[in-house]
Amino acid sequence: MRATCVKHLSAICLLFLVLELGCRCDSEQNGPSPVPSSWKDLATASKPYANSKLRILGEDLPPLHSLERLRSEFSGTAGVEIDIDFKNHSKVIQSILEGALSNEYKYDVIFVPHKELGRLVGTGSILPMSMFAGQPALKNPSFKPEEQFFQPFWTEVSTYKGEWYAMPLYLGGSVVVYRKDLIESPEEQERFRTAYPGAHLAEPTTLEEWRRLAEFFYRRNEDPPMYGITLLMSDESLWYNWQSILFAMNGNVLDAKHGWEYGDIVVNSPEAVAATDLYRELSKYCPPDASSYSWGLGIAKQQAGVSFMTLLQYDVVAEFEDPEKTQLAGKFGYFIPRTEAGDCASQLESWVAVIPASARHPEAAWLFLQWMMDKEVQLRMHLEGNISPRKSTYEDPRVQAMPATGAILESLDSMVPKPTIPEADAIQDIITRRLQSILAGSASTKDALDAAARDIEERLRGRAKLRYPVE
Amino acid sequence: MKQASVLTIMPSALVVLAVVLGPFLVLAWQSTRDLNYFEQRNSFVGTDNYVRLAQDEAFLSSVAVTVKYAVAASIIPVIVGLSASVALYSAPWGGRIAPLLLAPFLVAPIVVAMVFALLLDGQLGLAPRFLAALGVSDPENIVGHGRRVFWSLVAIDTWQWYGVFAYVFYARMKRVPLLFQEMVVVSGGGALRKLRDVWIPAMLPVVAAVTVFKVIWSLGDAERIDALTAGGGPHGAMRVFSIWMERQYFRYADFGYGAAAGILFYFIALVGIGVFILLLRTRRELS
Repeated sequence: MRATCVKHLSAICLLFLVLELGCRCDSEQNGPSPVPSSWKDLATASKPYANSKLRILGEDLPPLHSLERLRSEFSGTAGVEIDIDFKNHSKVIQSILEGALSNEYKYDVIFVPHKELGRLVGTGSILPMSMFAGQPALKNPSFKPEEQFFQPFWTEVSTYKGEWYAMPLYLGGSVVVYRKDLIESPEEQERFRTAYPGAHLAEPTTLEEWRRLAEFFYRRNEDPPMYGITLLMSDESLWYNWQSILFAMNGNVLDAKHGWEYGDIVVNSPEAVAATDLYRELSKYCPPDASSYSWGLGIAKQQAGVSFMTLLQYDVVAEFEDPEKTQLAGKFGYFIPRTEAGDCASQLESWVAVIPASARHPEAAWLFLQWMMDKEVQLRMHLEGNISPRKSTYEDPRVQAMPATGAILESLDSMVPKPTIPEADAIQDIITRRLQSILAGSASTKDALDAAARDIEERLRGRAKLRYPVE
Repeated sequence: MKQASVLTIMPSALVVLAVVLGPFLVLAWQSTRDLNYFEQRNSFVGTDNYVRLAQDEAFLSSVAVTVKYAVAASIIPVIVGLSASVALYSAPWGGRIAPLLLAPFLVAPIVVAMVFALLLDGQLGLAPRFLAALGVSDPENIVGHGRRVFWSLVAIDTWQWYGVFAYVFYARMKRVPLLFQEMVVVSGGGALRKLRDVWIPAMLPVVAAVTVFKVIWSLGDAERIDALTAGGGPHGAMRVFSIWMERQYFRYADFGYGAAAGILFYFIALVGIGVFILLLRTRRELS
């Protein structure tokens, strides 16, 4: 009996061995193609990774949707399937933390706000792009990002302490979306002349003109009411919104040349106090519930014509030109907040693609990102509603004809970097809370910004000193 | 025999201890450390995190608003639910419509938040028009006004929960024998005595249990508040503890500090609920 069992077991083992060997031979014959020695084209470079599936995580933003619509072209050429997982902002951040902690990301590419770079680099959670750019078989020799993309934007959002880690999804910066049709209306011009003798109703060229426009169009008691300006003052957006005015008035949070540097703490400088006072002044002309507005609601209200203007960022301008999204499409204009001297200044912002250290297909992910930054793809994404950081995009006549293009190009040389150090998120939280106390009227601007400076100093643990000492 | 019974419950007791006590001990250990993953810090700091919490205005205000919200969002739905159950009990068709009261509870909290966000919207919603018709000043400002958004959230919570409570209370009322009520009538008692001798003793335990359950639930409520107030409401007025904690833990990866806050909040909740139960027990002993 026992001998029979042993025989049966041996036969089964032998059968498994034969099957396993067969499978191995089969996989060796049909396995991945050898890696080519130099770049020929995307199809050749991606042959070793054909039939793999790239999993991508990102926030549910318009630029990522434009990429989603084009992904089949990459898949068709490279034979690599693309699966994009859209989540809300906090879920993306939570996924990043979970992945960093476990060193086991489920994704091959993650789109994150560029301010996250310091945290991800510091924990070794992402791969440097030089790993791939240094391989002749993977690097398209015509891809020269430092030359082909706007500077200092590229360096700030893609690199950290001189090392290249990311590729930007879009070009982000401050912009004011306003009702151009109202500015051009003869009735409004007449009304403006009556209200401000000697002044002319036009796109503002100074901060005072901007404030006056908000004041002029604040018509809360009319039917329907109109508000002078919408500021996005919710927890999520206040920091970004306030910085647009802070930079326009030559203020800053940390006086550093690059986002990855600490620099002095200058959030309580006279310029920052003046900028915050202006922000508070403008908030008087907002819809009364604007303290709960985040991006989505701010965009929706401007699309519905609730306000004369809204302080936003470039990446959403396409939302105002689509007749399916707003009946006011074609009636909006765009300008950048200006400094006192009339120069424009804009914050520098992007969501960037990074390759996690635990990505299953890092080479295929690199090929996808390199394809995403290609001249033609960038142009098509821009025409789909994205804002391209690639210079060549703006040479196209269709892009030049877009209403927001002039404002975007005007601000490129004066973009102000924001912190990307690991403590960037904590600084955002500190300032948001202090700004809320100012807007709620429970603290004076100076006291609240002094308190913010002290909190930041404590949080940075000696890495940055106060330039404007606090008693 | 006793040894055998101990052995019998041992496996399940171990599982419960591992599931309940394990994470709590990990949290307690983390709370004594300066532990921040992204900023690469990990050192023993003793009670420093607790001292920091006691001075942290954001933490203290989040605890205050959470406790206030949990109390209001528990007591009001319970009172409304109790009133509805009395109405159901008195009506001959009460039994038929009682299940319908469960309908609001079946709607996902996030959907509730989206629907009410539209209703309360300053320019597009119906609620501001209603307030304007009532002559309320500044009617378009509901979600941008600290007190109004607080009571709006309590009202939304009441709308979603009162039906469940009414159903539970109604079921309990139906279980009270008619004989007890008849005995009060026979002995010459009126409605007040019926309330004191029959209804309060019968309903108090279930009302207390439901209230405690709702308080615990409301203390951890974040999803609906977050969705309706874009992360904390006007000037952070509705930044409840769960939202604050989520940021410390998941956004800043400040595990030590977040753990200390979690433990402290746990004890605050435990003491609050303990006091409530003690009061109820005293009330029962007195009666």
